[in-house]
Amino acid sequence: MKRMWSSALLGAALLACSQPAPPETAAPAVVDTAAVVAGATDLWAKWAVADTAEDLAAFGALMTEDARFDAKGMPPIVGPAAMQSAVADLYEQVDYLEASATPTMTVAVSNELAHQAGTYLERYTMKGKQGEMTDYGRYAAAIVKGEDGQWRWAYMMAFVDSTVTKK
Amino acid sequence: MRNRLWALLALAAACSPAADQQAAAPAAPDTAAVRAELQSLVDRYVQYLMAGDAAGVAGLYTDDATYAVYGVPTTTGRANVEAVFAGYFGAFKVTSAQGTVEAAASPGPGIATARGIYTDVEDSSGVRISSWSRWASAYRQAADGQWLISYHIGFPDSTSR
Repeated sequence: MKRMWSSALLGAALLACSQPAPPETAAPAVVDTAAVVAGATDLWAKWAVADTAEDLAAFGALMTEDARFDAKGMPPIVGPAAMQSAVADLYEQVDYLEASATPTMTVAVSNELAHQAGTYLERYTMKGKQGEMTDYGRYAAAIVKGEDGQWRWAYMMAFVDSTVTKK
Repeated sequence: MRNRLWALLALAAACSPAADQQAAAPAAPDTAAVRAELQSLVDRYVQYLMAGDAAGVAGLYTDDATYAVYGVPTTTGRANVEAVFAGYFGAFKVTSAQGTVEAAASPGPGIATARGIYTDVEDSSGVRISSWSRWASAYRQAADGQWLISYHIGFPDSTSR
């Protein structure tokens, strides 16, 4: 509101001048929140597919080249190659049956940047063992849209809050 | 007041001969300056922690802030954040602490994000506990220019007794 008031004052000031009005400056891009949210949703859908398919290449494609991943129980992971290595170790021990994320807050900072927080779950079995387990966790992420139009994680912090074992 | 000053400056600029040759693009946030300001906020946060001042800690959050830290249910709102810390200070006394901003970004005016590390030593009924944590936060700048935490997430990496 204050910005609008200032703009109105500026407009009045320009009209008061006898000089020709300056050329119009480019207006800030309108943020298409729905498109940003859709992009983030699509990213999580791809993660769910990659995780349950244990598709390392697809997993690596979900993050930017300099993305950082801070997860409880793991050292900081930077870049797709390091992420693929970490996930490959997990896939040696675990079969993921289901993965899903539920955003609780998405802030469309711009048409190319979203800040998001939410919860996630991963249902899995340990290789060679019976019984399913489900991890429930929380996350916060910065998600960016690349020049190719794809949304990727630029940063994520996540931790598992609780694990439920189903015999 | 700031808006009025800005409008007057705009008026002066608009009436100058060179005005039609200057683009009025908003200045990009100075990331280094923002990082320094966020480190200052973290330093004040630590001071409040060591003083056991729940209201002081909560005052560094926005009214609608979200606090999502391992071991604590996600909490929304400054008053609820204060209640979380009041409970914490009832059980723990922070005897030394340090918080460090490792990286910061300001993608637009009035908003910023940062991540960092936090270490402290707490006393709980005579038991000394050392902990190391990672955290990430989002910030909004208040009308008075102060940065406030709008979202905070973190988890302990390790704890020793």
